[in-house]
Amino acid sequence: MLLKLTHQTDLTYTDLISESVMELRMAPRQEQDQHRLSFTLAIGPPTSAYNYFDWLGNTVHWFTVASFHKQIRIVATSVVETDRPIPAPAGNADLWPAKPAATDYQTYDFCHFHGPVVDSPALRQLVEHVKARKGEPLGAVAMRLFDLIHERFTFKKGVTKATSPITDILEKGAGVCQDFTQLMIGAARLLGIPARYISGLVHPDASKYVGATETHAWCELLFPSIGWVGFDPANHRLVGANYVKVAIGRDYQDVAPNKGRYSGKVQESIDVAVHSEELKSIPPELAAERIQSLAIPTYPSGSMGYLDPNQQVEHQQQQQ
Amino acid sequence: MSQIPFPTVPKFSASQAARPMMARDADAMFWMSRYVERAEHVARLLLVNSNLLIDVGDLAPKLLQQQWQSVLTIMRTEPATTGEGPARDLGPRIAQYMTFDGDNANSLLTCLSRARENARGIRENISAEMWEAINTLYWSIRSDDAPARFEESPDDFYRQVMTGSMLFQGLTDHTLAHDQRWLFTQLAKYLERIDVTCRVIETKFSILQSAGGQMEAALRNIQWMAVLRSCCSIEAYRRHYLGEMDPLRVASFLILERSFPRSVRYAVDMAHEATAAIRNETGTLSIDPAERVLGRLNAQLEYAEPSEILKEGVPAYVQKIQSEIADAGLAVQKRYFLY
Amino acid sequence: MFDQYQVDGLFDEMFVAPGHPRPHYSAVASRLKVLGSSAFNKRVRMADVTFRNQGITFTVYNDKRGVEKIFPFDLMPRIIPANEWDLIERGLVQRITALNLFCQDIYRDQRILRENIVPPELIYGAKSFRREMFHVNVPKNIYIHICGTDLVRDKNGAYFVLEDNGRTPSGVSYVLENRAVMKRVFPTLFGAYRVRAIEDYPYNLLQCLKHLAPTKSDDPAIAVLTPGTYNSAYFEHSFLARQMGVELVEGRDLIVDNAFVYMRTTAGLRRVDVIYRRVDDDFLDPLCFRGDSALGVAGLMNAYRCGNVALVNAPGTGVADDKAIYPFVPDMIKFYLGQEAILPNVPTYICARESDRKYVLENLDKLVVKSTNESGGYGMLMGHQAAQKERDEFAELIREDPRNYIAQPVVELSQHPSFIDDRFEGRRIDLRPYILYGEKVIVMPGGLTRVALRKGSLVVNSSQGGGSKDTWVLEEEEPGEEKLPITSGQLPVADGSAKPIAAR
Repeated sequence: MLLKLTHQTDLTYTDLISESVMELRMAPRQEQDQHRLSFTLAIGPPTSAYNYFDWLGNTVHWFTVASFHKQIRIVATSVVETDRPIPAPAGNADLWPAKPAATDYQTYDFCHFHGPVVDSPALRQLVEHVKARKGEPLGAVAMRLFDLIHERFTFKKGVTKATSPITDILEKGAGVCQDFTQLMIGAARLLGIPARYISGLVHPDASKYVGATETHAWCELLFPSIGWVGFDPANHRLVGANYVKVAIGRDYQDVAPNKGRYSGKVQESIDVAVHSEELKSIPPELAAERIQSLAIPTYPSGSMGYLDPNQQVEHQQQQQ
Repeated sequence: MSQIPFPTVPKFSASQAARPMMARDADAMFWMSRYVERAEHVARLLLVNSNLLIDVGDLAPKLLQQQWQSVLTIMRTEPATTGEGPARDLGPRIAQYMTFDGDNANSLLTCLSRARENARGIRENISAEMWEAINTLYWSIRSDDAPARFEESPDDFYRQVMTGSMLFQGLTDHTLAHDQRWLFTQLAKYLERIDVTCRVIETKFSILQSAGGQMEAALRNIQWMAVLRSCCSIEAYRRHYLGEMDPLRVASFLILERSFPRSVRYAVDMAHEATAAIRNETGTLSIDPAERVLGRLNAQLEYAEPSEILKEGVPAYVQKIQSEIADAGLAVQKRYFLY
Repeated sequence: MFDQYQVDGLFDEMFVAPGHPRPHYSAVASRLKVLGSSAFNKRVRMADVTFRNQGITFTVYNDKRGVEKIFPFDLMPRIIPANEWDLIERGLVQRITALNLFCQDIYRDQRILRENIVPPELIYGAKSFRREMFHVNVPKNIYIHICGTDLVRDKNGAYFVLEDNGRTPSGVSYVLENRAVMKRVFPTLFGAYRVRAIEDYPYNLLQCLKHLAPTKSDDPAIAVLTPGTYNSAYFEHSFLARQMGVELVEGRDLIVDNAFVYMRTTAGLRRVDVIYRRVDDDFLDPLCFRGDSALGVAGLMNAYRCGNVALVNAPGTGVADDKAIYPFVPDMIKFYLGQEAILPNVPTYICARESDRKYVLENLDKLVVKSTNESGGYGMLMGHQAAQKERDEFAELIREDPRNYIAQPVVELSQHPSFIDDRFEGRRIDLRPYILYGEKVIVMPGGLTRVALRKGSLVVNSSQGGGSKDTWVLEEEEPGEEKLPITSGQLPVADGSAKPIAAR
């Protein structure tokens, strides 16, 4: 599948801010079944962008804005070719419980609770309902967990927060794709199956998907014989060619598409729009990577009022 | 060819390879110096006031209250704990309040604590001698036996603070390179001195004017001497005017005297030089508002006629100076400390 | 002064037996005898006043009256003969070399994990393991530039390593100030010895920092990053900045713009090349580590990754001084250097191991239990002195989070005479030497000797009522060499050409 994805993020502030530093995880990953043919990152106010690979191999772009500004716009455009058949978790020889090879400590991070993925009695109760039996196919256990989450939990916005641990979705019975994903990861880890968080984009493919117009999240479970297999618990679908993987991690904290700090006492609002289309052929202007500038204004330092009436009264004393 | 106006070359010499200075450190340097100077003024005001009351003997309670009240007015301090109690205790209570009260923003204890706290944050910018001086001074008022020493002799106690402050300033001049670090201490010291001196003049002139003809000449003279003492200027004045006490002369001496380091005119000149030198050290060509304000004030004082002061009234004249000094202080903060 | 002094079956640094000082202490002993306790007492007070007036203090948070305290100084110096020091020095050089190779390996190839020398779960389970440091090019490949290693001596006087401090070890300012105060109040005592100088430490530290500057420059901009005046070690941060003549900055003084770090000066932004940071990893960069940190600099790690600024020590070194990794240091030395450890470890039980855990839980009354990720004497159980209730509570903690605990047999630390209430009594001591790893490894001759001032106590930490001593490492005695007389006869002789001093 040849996909063009546009991911626009607008950050607006109620007043001028200074000194923004921002990290982005927006460039699709290069994988065996997914090839990033082109990536263009446009940022405003105009600045330089740098990149590095984090410890999980995700591409991280980052930039700073040192002058006063009120708005930041980031447009990430990628052309990706995917070649991922719908997985069949049940069709392999792996049995439950799978024993990871003793020396393979690389999966340590995907086997242990961390951050929002926390252990809890409610999670243990949920896992008990999977009724995993020793010696049965691993795929069957995974599918039962997948189905159970679909039956028990409903997709609903505004119930949980970006920082919610999985106890929130367990308690409220509802959440968004991030909660579904982290819940499934927690349950899988409790079952001894290494599980990781995927942040990415999904091409709607005519049928209905939640999370199609925003960045999406799903998870991957490790099958010893075939490797990582993608499950999208929020949509109750197995991950095929219309999914574009951007970043992998232990949980949301490792993969947040944008993460930043700014100076100023203001309110921030964020607006994200994702658009995807299937291409017939590779566009001619294709470049491996481009960084561009957007005309978002900055303001001179004088525009920030420093003296206010209160300070005038208090000037005799040092600001303590 | 037209002449390009060029900023005046500062009298303070700027070192060649100026070491950068953290904006926050400059801020702390400035306030350290300002609080030390303030502590000296507070100590002197309290000392002079105590002695004055001995000199004038049994004053009418109203006048007594007025005298002590003037200390609070000069330091723009609200009498938080001094409201109640018999009038004859008023002096000791205010003295106590202005010396040891940690909640009073202008007490000696607060001034010295803040001076030291600022110094502690910039020890790598000041000399070991300066630090030891300010730290020792701080402990002399903070230690357990300080109240007892004060009780025994307030006079000695205040003198110790004054000498301690001056020792610190002397060490600042002689153990610190005269680069922007030092310049910020000078600027702060002189701005504070102008500010307090103006407030002393304003407050005392108002009291003496309102008393009008009710005061006997002898008492009046003692009062004028107290004004000069409060500004550490009595000897210099006597040398200059051969001891004659005259309100206009006192005012013009304290405000306009060119060569005396306690006069407003001298302090304005020094503060102006310091701003120009700082500008030079930080490599800025444009004159900042602080330098402009001080430069204008300097010129105004340089060419002022003593009679001008009387025309406007002394309190009004120094009020105007104070507001300009406040502007200059704010401009310095905005230009150099905003981090 | 030493009349009632007891050795109590411990190793005493000064006395072989009551009344019989070891050879290297005999000169001190005889001088003190002449001096008498009232004169000694006077000098103690002199030292106290000096410390207070110079503001040589550390901060205690729960103290109502003033937040600053003087680190109690015990005027009686600790003396280490040259041959003992030689062993210590070689052992420490070996250790810091191995610890650095370990950090390099852990954040790159992980050979030591692949070959099962160190159990991977101990690394991956360590809070101090910084995944963010993976594949980061660290300036000059050095991670631990400054290390403070705690040494103790047992009943027989043998030296052991108790722990390594490879994050932001503190205390070196007290070493230097102790020596300065000692020279001020007790100059005569030095006359009998040739004590190795330690005053070049700040210079060596500065050279070490300069060595790491990203661009070759004679004058790189170096700054010490402090959490601020309220930090307990603020005095030291300020002291070191002063001694080296570099800037002392807080997080809010720095800003990352593009890929460089700048400090805010009165003349605008100035680039910073090397940061000696005394802020913990967690708080260094809110973008990379803990997001709620107000002490750090957002984006600092990105500038670091680009190689435009050096951080000292490197982030992530905590994995090397983690108390659960400590037992493997002798194995590391063998693995990376092919050598046996010169300085041995104290035997250690790792609670994360089931068999060790079982032993620890059964023998809590004989062991010292330590939390793997804490320092300063916090999170510790002295099993032999604790009440049953405390032991039960600790047993519960260990069961809940075994990775977080290790246990060691009680080491009967050596004792040293301390001046307590007008006479000398034995108090337990340890030693923290400081090691610098720059162009070469330099061990400061001496270090911080900490004293447990409470009678019978084995805890020497300043936060737990410990004090410190000046530590004298003696120069090698050349055979047959005579001591120089105090007046050397080198005074300049007037030759008549000098101008007379102006006088009237």
